[in-house]
Parts: sequence; structure tokens; C-alpha cells
Amino acid sequence: MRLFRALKNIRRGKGRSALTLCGVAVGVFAVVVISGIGVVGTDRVTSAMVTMGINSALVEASETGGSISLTDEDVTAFSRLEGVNKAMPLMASPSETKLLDVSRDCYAWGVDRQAKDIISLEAIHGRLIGDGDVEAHAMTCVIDEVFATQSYGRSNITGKKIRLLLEGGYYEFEIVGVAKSGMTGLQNMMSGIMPDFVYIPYTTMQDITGRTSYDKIALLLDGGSADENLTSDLTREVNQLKSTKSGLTITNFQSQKGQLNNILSTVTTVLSLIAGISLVVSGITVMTTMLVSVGERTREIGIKKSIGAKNKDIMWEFLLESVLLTAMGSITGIALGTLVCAAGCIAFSLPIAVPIKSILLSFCFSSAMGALFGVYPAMKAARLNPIEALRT
Amino acid sequence: MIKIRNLTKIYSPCTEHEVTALDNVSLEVKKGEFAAVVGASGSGKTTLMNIIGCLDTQTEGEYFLDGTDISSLSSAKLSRVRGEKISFIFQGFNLIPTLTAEENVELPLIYRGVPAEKRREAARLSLEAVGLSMRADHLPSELSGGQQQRVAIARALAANAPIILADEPCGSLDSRSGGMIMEMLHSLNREGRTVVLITHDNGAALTAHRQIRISDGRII
Repeated sequence: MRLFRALKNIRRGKGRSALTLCGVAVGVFAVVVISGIGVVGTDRVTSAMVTMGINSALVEASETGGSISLTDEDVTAFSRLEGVNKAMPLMASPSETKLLDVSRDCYAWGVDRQAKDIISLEAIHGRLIGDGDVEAHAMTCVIDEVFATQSYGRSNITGKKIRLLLEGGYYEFEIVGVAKSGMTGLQNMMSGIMPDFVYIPYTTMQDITGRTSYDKIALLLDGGSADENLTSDLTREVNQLKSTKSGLTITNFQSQKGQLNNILSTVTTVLSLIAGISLVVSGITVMTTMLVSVGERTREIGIKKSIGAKNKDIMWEFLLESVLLTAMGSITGIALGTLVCAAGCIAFSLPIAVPIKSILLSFCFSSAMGALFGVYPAMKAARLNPIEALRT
Repeated sequence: MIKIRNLTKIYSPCTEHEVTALDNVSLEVKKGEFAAVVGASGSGKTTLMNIIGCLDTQTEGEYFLDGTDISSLSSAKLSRVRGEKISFIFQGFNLIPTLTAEENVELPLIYRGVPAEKRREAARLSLEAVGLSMRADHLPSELSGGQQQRVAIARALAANAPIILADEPCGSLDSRSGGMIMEMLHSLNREGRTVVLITHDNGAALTAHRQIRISDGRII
């Protein structure tokens, strides 16, 4: 009943109430949209980093480590460490390709079938390097999508031959698959400007280079458990296994992800706070509206007091009105903000993310603002002297 | 019912704007009486009504309402006394412009915490008593002056307070409507309510049981 009367009073000051409501709505809208962008951004970064190989790590000799040779036993031993899901030998060699007589710089990688999981390699045509290729020391390779398109004008060039320069001589490989270009784990770990990548069976690479050891061992860490502690634990353990002090280092993205997320959340928080200022401004607008309303209804307050309304009754009447006004405003703002967030997500074909936490927070915050800034006008109304109020 | 002894009211005391509105006033109104306070404007009769109506407090002296010392009450208790014991009928009607006739009549009961069902029933009966059942859903602006004053009387009826304070109730009405309002006040009095009429109109005052004349803040 009280609520109904408050609503009725809000309807009375149509234009003014509507404007105040708009002010609150705009403030809440800003907060919701900004935090929406923050949530979507964080989601994007996380998912991008997962496809980039957030859970993979690379073991290699450190710059000061000198020559430590990694062997099949190490691959097996590393794969059994706690927190490690898989391990794969990895060989690398700078190279040059000749395709249709065009020479290009490239980087050749010796991998096995686990490349799909460990370095997030994804075939868009044909297949990846499999166990068969490794066992047979096959002259097969998988190339980059960009490389394929640039040399052939299309991406599906499986079955074509490519000549790779390794250890001073050209070797002919059959292209069995084309891998999706972009942020694969290796490209990230290499960091810097990347040449084209060509993936061949590591056994073939060993044959050609005459090396029996591996340059690096790629690890797939257990999802979720991959944090910085794990990385340092693993670094210690692999060094123990190889009985070196710090000859081996492990690189992964976990720490970078943490930093990036920190930056993102700081930016979002700062922006949200700035938007939060607009909530304070709308609180002040509510106060102005309520003060005008008290002024207009002075006589009414006098009448009510003369027929038995207590100060408390008058106080609640106005307080309820201001809280209701802000609540209605923030619901409008939330509705609009959520709509814009959803529309934005659809427009950029992102998964729809709604910043529930900020919605609840801004609703509570603005309602609290309504109460806070409503208290003064309400007290002013309640304290009016009935005789003076009646005289107006 | 109303007992006032040596009551003085000074506005802005101890300043150069000091005004003595009531000066050592003593008066008594018995239960069931119809008393008229008569005086020219500026004589202090409205101040007297405000004090009797518990809207204002005296500077000096005593005021007992139904045996309760009013000057000792807190603001919340004063509101309660106002709501339960006193109904005002003002010259300007003092209806709330955004509420319908029925809602205006219900208002005193809302502050008393009467359940909605009972409130509506009381409001309906009161409006019927003043002959305005047909106008229950009208806003004050859609009613004539006489009708508005009848709504105010219905409000007093619904509140069912033992004392009715009428401050120039016919001041803004034509003589026919005024007569009707006076008649209603008399019938309220016959039902056992104490009525205090404040007026400068001698004719109206003469219909009361007793006239209390006030001039320059003193009873003469």
C-alpha cells in the first residue's frame, strides 16, 4: 500500500520523475556496459590464451646451460612428473623451402603425433604428422596455411611436393596436411617475428641432421593446475632429473596470462569507478528532485501532520519514493545495458557474457544512493512545522 | 475536555520581533459542548486553535486535553493525540489534491494503522453521511467548495475524534453551502462530539452554546 502510494507520487511529477529516472538509468547503463566489456575482454583473453597453448610448456637448455642433450628417456621421465599430462620431443632447425622455385625462409620443426594437443596444432586440410610417419621416418610434412595461400593462392595444397633445405641439402617432402596459422603454442614461445613453419616427423629430422638428441621437450600440463608454482616446481624437478643446477628452463604462458588479466581487471575497475561517479551524480539529481518535491508538497505534509501523520510516516513516504525512483532507474539502466552488451556480443559474434556481479552491484549501489540522497529531503519533509506547512 | 490555564504564547521571544499572540488566557470547554471562539483577524484566535489542536505549543501556562498535559508530550505522541482526539475543519478545506474524496477520507485511518478493508468501509459510510457517495472517486478539484468541505467533514467523521476544531469552516463558501456545513457541525455535536468553532462571523457564532470572545490575545 505504501509502495503503491509512493508510485502514485512518482507518477505525479511525470516529467521530473522521468528525467531523474533517465539520469539514474544512464549511470547504471554506463557501469553495466563497461563491466560487460571487461567481462567479455577477460573471457576473450583467457580463451585466446588457451588456444595459444596456455597449458603447454617448453623445456630447453638455458642460455648459460651449455650443451645438455635431451633424450627419449627424458621425454618419458618428464611425462611422468606430477602436473604433466604429455611430453613430446621437439627438434627445430632454421631452413629454407623451395616451392614452385620460389625460395622462402622457414623454420622446420620435428614433432610427433602429439603436436595437436601440446602445441595446439590444428589441421584444416589433410592430416597432421602421425605415428606412422614417425616410425617410418617418412618424408612427409605439414605446412602453414599462410605459407600455402601465399605460394599457391589457395590453402588446400595437400599432395604437393615441397623442397626443404636442411643441413646444406635439399630434401623433398610430401605435404600431407595444412595447419591453421596463427597463435599456435610454438609460434608464441618463439615470440618475435615468425617465419613460416613446416612440421616434419622428428625421426626424419634426426636422420637428416644426424643428431640423436632433442633440442627441446614440449610438455602439456594438466589443465587448471598450470600455475607459476607448478612451473617452478617442474623446473627444479627436470634439473634434478638431468642432475644440473639450472641448465634447463621451462617457459609457459601462465605468468603472462596472470599479468594480462591483472591489467585487464585494473582497467575495468578504473573505468567502472569512473562510471560509478555518474551514479553519485544521479544520486544528487534524485536529491534535487526530492527537495523540489518536498517544497511542492509542503502543504500536503502539513495536512497529513494535522490529521495524525508522525514525522516517521512522512519520512518513510519520501524515502520510499526516492529509493523507488532510483530502483526503477537502475532497472531501466540494467535492461538497456544488458541489451547493448548482448547486441555487441552478437555483432562481434562473441559468446554472450552478462556482468551479473556488476549488475547486482550497481543496482544495490544506486538504490543505496537513492536512500542516502533521499534521507536529507525526507528528513526535511518530516521536520516541517505543521503550522508553517499549512500556511503555504 | 479542554482545560487551558494562564496560557501565554509569544512568537520570536526575546527579539525585536517579539509578538505576544495570547496573553494569560484561561478557558475550559466541556465534553459535548459547542463553543465558538470569536474575534477579529489578528486577535490570536488562530494561535489558540493551533495550540488546542496540538499543532503548536505554548510559551507559558498549562493545557490539559482529556486530562493529559500536552506540553509534556513528545512530537510523535503529539501526532498521535492529533490523529486520535482531534479533527480539523479548515477554511481552505485542506484536502490532498491528488487523492480522491474517498482516499482523503481514509487518510487519518492509514496513519492509525487501520486495515484497508475497514478503512474503506469507514470512508464509504462517512461519505454517505455527508451525502457524497456519488462523488467518492472524484478529485477535490472536481468538487465544489461546499462539497470539498463536506469531504473534510467526512474525513473528521471517519477519524471519529471526540473533538472537532473548525477554523472558519464557512469562510470560503456561499451562504447556502455555509449553512449546510454549520448544520452538519451541529449534528456532529448532537452525536456527542465536542465542537470548537473559530470564526469572525457573529451570526455563525451565535448558533453555538457559548461564545468566547477574544481580542488582542485576551479573552473578554
